[in-house]
Amino acid sequence: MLVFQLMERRGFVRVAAVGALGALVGSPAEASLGRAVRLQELTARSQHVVLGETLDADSVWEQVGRRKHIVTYSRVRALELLAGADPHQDELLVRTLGGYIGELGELVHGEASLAIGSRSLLFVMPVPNALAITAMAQGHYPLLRDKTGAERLQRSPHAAELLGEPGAAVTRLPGLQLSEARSLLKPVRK
Amino acid sequence: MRRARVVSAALGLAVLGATWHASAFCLTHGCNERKQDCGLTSEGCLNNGPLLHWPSSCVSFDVQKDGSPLRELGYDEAHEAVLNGFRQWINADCGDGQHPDVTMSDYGPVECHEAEYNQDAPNANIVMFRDDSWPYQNAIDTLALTTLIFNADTGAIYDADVEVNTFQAPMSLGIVGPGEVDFNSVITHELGHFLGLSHSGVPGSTMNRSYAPGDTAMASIEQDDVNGICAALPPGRAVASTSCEPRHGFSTECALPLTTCGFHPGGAGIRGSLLLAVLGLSAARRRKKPRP
Repeated sequence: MLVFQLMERRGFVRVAAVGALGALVGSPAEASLGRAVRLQELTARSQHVVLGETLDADSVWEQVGRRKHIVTYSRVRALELLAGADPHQDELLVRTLGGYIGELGELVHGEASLAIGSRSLLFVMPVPNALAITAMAQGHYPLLRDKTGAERLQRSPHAAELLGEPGAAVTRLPGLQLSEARSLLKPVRK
Repeated sequence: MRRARVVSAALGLAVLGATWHASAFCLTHGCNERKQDCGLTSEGCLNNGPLLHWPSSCVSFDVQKDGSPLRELGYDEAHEAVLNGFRQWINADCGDGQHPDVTMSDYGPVECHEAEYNQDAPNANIVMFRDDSWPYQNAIDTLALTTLIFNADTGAIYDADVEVNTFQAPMSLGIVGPGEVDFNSVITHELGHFLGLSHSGVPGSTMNRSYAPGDTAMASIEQDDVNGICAALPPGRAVASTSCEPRHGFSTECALPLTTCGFHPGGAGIRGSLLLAVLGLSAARRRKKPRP
């Protein structure tokens, strides 16, 4: 029989001893509700805005806050600097929340996920020992070829539409060719 | 007016099967970028990888016992808002008098306010409040995060936690002033993620990603949300069990902290469990009464 009501179940609580020594390995998937970030703000908050190619990636357990989560470190070849400071290196290490280890997976709806072999426009900011995508998936725009063969920026798979925000980066950048993005970013460069 | 639109739209659900695929809700898939193409469909959904789903017909949830003192949001108010949010989702009209195939079981207040999954210890699916700090990057852009732990092969969800960014966001209940964030809207959206929905591109839908401060419209689900939840938890779906118990059992407390955080596993938990047991007994007795 199907039941569609909320039910209280407090009576059957069996609180297990909290002596699980260090049994803390988790694998979360996260989803966010956020605000749209304007292109100018996104650029200003980013240390580098680069066209990058993801070379490889590795997921590890890492302490975030007070608990361990899966995070993924992607090695990205910096192909072109579009705005921000020169990173002075050919390869960048970009850290994103989520990933897969063994049978467990962590997916962050609002977070970027860099496909190996893909080229993307990336807005990145420094975090300890790596870079992070600024404003999560709002700072990640994969380049894909359209039917005419032209490469165009695409919305990051985990970034939803941000309707009603005409100035938002995620509204303005998808669909543009790289040359158009260069022109758009030129006036807002630091 | 908005509610009336929802009701009238729900009456037309007899053709749901034909309209689901044309709408813009997205289900949650665990696509592994290292193994497969994770491109978007024409509807803007990520459909590769296993579908994330609750394998049991019953899912438990809890609310952090402290609520948010910073935002003067007590446990009772927060708990009621969570209940209202879940009620909307699980009472959605899937047509022919049917509803999403899930029962939500209220396990009451919990001590733990950490998003964690314990592979060898009890767990809890918690709505918690971040009053002191936001542990992730991009705090100013994020109102809340839902964390789902799942089996990467099957998509079976093992655990879910909702973190509300009360540290940064001026969360409010009831009358929501300009610049304030409506907790009812935020929690209803996050509970959609908890139940397996991803973001939607439909303007005005609860699962749309963007939120404008002061807005309260996301607190009530729209037709696109109804279509989504009925697809995520379809009536009569195959389930692996009917147990409401979290994976590896239930605990009101976090597992041992990785760093000093001022709480003490043990004493408070025993008191908490006794209180819950008493509350639960009365609930169990109520349930034994014959129903008309």
